[in-house]
Amino acid sequence: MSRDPVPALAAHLHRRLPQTEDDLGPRLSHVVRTSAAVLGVDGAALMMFDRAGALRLVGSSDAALGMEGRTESGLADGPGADAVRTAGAIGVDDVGRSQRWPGFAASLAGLPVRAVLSVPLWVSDEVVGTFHLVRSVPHVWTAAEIGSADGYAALVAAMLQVAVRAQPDETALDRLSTLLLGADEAAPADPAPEER
Amino acid sequence: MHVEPGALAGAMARLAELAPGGTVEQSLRQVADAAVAVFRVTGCGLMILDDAQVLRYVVSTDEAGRILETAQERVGEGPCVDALVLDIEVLTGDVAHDERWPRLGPELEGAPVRGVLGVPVHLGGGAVGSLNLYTADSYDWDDSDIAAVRAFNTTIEDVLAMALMAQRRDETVAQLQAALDHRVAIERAVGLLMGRFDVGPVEAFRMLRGEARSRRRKVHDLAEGLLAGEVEVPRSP
Repeated sequence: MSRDPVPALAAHLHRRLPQTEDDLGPRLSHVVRTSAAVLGVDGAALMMFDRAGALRLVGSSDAALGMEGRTESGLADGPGADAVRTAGAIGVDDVGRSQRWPGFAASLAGLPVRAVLSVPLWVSDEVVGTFHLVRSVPHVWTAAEIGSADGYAALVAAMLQVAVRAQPDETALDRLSTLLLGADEAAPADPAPEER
Repeated sequence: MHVEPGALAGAMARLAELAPGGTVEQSLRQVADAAVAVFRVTGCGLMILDDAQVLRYVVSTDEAGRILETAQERVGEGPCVDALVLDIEVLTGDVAHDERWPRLGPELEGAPVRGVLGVPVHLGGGAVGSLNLYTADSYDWDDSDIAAVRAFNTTIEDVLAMALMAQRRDETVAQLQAALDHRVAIERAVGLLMGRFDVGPVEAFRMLRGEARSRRRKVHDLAEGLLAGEVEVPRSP
């Protein structure tokens, strides 16, 4: 890939960014929700590993069908787990007819979820979660659709990756502010007027 | 979509251990790569308005994409320029022979770029650039293509905003770190002068500042020089 360095553009764009702190939640929600319109599916869900190594449901679109509590274990034990294990896409054309994950099929009983496509979410050459697309009718996932799903998962990963830098748990900012506050108390009055 | 805050926080904590996080440029490259995979086009590029309101090439997925972007930057016309100016999707089945951009065609001679779909990229309520998908062969974009790309395009603002916010945070941290670093040197230099001339901290700092002014140096530079034994600060009259 080719590119030219353009740091000045980023500086310029900062002026367009609201000064208030942004929140990852709504933006991540928008990115996942929009996948339905981009990829032509009925819903999507995002699962990620927590620090204990458990695959947790981070969020799902409304049309993925209110499946929060019911699907977490199903996806984690079903196509999600296999997508992680194989580091590749796992498609279920018809959940109702699939014999592969009986527990998964049972967890979706009564929900308008018939076809599921699970793809791994990659960050720094490691699978950090799974991205799931859902259709409410049986559907044979094509190679093109799987490629598109992988591409969209890469977009979600890009969002998460940059959010790591934007919203660290305990920021250097906090630590430095604390240090500076301590220095303030010990410093002579008006310590560095020259710098102005 | 429903977000589970606890699960998200746990996932982000794990990611923080794993990945250093992306820069603005890295993020835009990832967006361009994702667009190519999602829409199965030949290539993709992004152009962003600069401070002078001129559309500049930022990133492309390949050389042909770079040629398309830089050609539009050079002649000031093309589907990506129109997408930004008109704030609408602009498409062409064969950009090299499109009469709307007579100066662009010759610039693309020999480049495998034909079908182009340009869509405006927004930030903070206004258009700040354009995303450009292209195909190596002529291509008739249909309504489903446009609707899908339009939807995808709304997510670019999310990634871009988060990347800029991360950069803003980094810059703030760097500024604070510099202030802290300088402060430590200044405090140590003040302490040295207090001991050397038996004066209080305010007087010691006044001496340091006065000498810095007379030498036309910053206080922290002089403080570091004093601590290194490279300069002397005389007692004030």
